[in-house]
Amino acid sequence: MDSDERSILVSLCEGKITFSEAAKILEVSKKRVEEMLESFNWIPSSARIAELRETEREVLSHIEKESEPIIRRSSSFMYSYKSMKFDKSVANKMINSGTSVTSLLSKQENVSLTYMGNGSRYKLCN
Amino acid sequence: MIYVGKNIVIDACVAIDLSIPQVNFIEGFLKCLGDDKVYISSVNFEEVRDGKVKRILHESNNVNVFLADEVKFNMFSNEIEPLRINLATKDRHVLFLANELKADYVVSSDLNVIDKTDKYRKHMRFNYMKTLTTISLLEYLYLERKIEYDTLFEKGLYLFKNKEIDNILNHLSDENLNSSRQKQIEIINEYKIIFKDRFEMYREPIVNQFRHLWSVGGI
Repeated sequence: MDSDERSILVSLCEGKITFSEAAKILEVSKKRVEEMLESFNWIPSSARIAELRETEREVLSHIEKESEPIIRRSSSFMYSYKSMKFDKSVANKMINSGTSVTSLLSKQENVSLTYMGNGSRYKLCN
Repeated sequence: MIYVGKNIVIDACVAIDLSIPQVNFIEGFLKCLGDDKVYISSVNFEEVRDGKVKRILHESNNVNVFLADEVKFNMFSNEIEPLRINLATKDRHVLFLANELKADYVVSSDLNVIDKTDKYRKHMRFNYMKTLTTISLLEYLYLERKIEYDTLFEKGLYLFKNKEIDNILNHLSDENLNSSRQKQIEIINEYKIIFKDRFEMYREPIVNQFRHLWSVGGI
């Protein structure tokens, strides 16, 4: 593949031209362009990869929120981590009784809490 | 809340990546899916050369090999051409199937497929057809509590070592290195960035989930 062909295929992958336009420039059939593209490796720019990663993180973050009950802070103070996970039984009890998180933390095994501020309020998100 | 299984369309490279001896997770992956279903186009299924892997896919109750309708495929190809979402035929079958099934997730380790699927999804304003790379698929399984953290960690690192490094260097071998020293340096510098981008794709889920586990005392 010469550099001109390569340059056209890069433009094709970058979405700058269509298959028909590439075929016209290369003076080959559209089917031939598709065949050439089959054996051509192209990867998006670094900026685009960063954007795709960001989109993926949003998807995974949404999955994380959907997959289990999570306690999140609702005030402006900070914990050293973004969320805490609770056993289902504990979470259900909290939902049903409206019990505060802090009163149940002591009953939750294997949960450590690093407090970094005052005036804490929590809400349970399912 | 009732959990509804997800429809996951995979590219051939996902099955291939998960089945290399060092990763050896194709059966584990299919067994832990629960209510989720995996779909692969018959065209992409044929890209899997290993007969054993094909048999595993074929025999799994969680996998559907979808026979591509050529007429519909050609119509779809004509529809996306003006959008300049240009993919080679085999790769376009991944997008076509995801569109046909209104798949929840599309998984590929080919960033070109991920890029074009994301562009199509955003153009069509779909709230489905979300893209995941193979390492993100492992993170998805972890978040859904279908695999443990050590599986995410171990399989993720093995994928990087045994697939990603090879992919990047194979890609580099396609470059014209028989050029001026200045041009060679430009290519190498570009690949340094590519390498770091790819590494980040693996580092991020492994470190993020480790931090989270650590914070809740899971480790």
